[in-house]
Amino acid sequence: MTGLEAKNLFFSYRNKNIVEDITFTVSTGGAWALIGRNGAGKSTLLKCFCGLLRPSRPESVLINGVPISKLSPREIALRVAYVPQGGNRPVPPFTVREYVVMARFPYRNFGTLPCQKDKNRVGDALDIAGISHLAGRMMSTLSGGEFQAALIAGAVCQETPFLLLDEPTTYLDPFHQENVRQIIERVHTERGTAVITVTHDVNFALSTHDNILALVDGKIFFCGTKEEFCIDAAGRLSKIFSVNFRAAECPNQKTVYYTEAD
Amino acid sequence: MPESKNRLLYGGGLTSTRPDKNSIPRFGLLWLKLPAYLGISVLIIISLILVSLLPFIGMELMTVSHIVDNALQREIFLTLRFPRVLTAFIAGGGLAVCGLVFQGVFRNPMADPFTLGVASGASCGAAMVILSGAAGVFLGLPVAAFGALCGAVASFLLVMIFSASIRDGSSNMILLAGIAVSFFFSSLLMFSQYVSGMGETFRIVRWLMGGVEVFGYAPLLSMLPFITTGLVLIAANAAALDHFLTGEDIAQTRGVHIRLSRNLLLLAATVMTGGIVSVCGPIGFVGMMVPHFCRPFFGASHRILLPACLFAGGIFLSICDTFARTVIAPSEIPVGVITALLGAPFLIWILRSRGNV
Repeated sequence: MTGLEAKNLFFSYRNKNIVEDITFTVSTGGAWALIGRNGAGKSTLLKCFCGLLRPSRPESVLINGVPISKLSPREIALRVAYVPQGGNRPVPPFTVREYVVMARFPYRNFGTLPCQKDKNRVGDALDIAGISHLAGRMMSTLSGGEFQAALIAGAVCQETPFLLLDEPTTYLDPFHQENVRQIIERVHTERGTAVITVTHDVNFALSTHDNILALVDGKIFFCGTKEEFCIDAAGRLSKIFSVNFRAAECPNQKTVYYTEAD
Repeated sequence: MPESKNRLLYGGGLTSTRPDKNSIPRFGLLWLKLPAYLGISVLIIISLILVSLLPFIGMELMTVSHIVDNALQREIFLTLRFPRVLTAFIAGGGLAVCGLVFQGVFRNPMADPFTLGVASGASCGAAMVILSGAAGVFLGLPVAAFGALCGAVASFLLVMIFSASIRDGSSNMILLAGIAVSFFFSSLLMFSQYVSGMGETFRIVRWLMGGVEVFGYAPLLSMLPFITTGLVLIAANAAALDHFLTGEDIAQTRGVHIRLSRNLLLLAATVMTGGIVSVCGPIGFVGMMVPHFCRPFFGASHRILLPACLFAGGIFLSICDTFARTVIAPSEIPVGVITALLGAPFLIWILRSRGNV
């Protein structure tokens, strides 16, 4: 079985189930968007996928058929990369290049310095995130959008088959939202990396991802392809978020969804 | 994506014409960013010069001919002054490295052996032994030193147990548990002082001020195993320590075994602190100040900061101790008093002139 798999995944905190009975598979090269209201369990699910949280049954998350609990942090890091939420984070006291080089940690032998291959990979990652010109800047001097791009560059530099992103466009202006969207698209198409994105931006979710997983109160509300979702997207979105959604056709044949007051 | 579009996206054209803050040449000693290895070499050279010169300075200045000609002078030099400078150097370096580790693991600029409760645990342990009137040697260590070590380890275990019962075991919780444990041991110490006699209270208070008045090389040797073990463990985890600064979630998803590395690093720093406090008493401020002093010059990478702090801490404490034993000679000031007196204004001056790094 190849792919990142959740099998009857439960996660509970203080005897309350945060996510319940989640079963779905992200195949290699897939692109999934996780949508749902705040507190629906999206980020929790994402953290279970990269080993940051332990689900109630450890064998309920599998990477290529192997339970994640049987893998060391280093082995997980070679398979899954994670981009945390950008806001309110400790700012690493490093330059962008130093920060991205550190992502090669799982590839390095104990006590060795980054080799030429690592440096090349760092250059590639900075290119794909479009921040080569920022390489020498301190992370603390970056704007929010540049910081998010640097976080993604770090994860890309890990060269994993799976990339998890937790609300990558939150707190960003429309310009940088579009930029982050393009970076994710590039990583997905050029590298064939499977992408799982938690997002509240439904148009971003539907434009960049082929599959949608919608959670309501920790349970799966919808799990399937974008096309299936779009059969009645406005209706489904209205149910997920408990607010009226309308669809509008754009001149470029795209459909965008917007909320409407009662 | 073509480069031109990237530039468009980020206004790269603009940033390239605007002078980059980091590329403005800086003049004056404080603005000089030394290449790491040159900087470390400079520190090593200063260390060697100081360790070989400071023993000559005392109430009266010695010269090489004094030592060669006069047996008494030779004895003072070899069994009092030289081991004392060496002890101060090694203790200072060790304390600075401990501070560096605590600050890195907790991502907290105020963390040092004192905030985590390790130092007060060690002090309490040593004070208990002094109060009980026990003397002698146990397992190759003076009993007071053994008490300090037990106190340090006990406080570390307490902190770990408290913070493990909190589900996420995050750094802030450990730090908070550390402060609680620190207050607990301080109160225990005060209580034991209160109920003890004048003589013992004076001995404890004097010991609590810290000092490196050693006789011969035995105290130095009893401290060395702890320091070397700690240094090896910390050096092995230096890369992990860098990752702690990026946040624990990123560190773990990059393959750092957070719990293991954190516990190893804290254990190493605890053992080192215990060893040093057992000989020198709690000497404050070195652990907190020296890493802050080194960062503007050496950056944030612990591969460089570790040796830098080791030598800078040694230099700092050996100079402070020389002040302590010469300023009002033949009387002495406890070195713990000097470190803060000298260190605090110096640190503020450095932080003001370098700004945030």
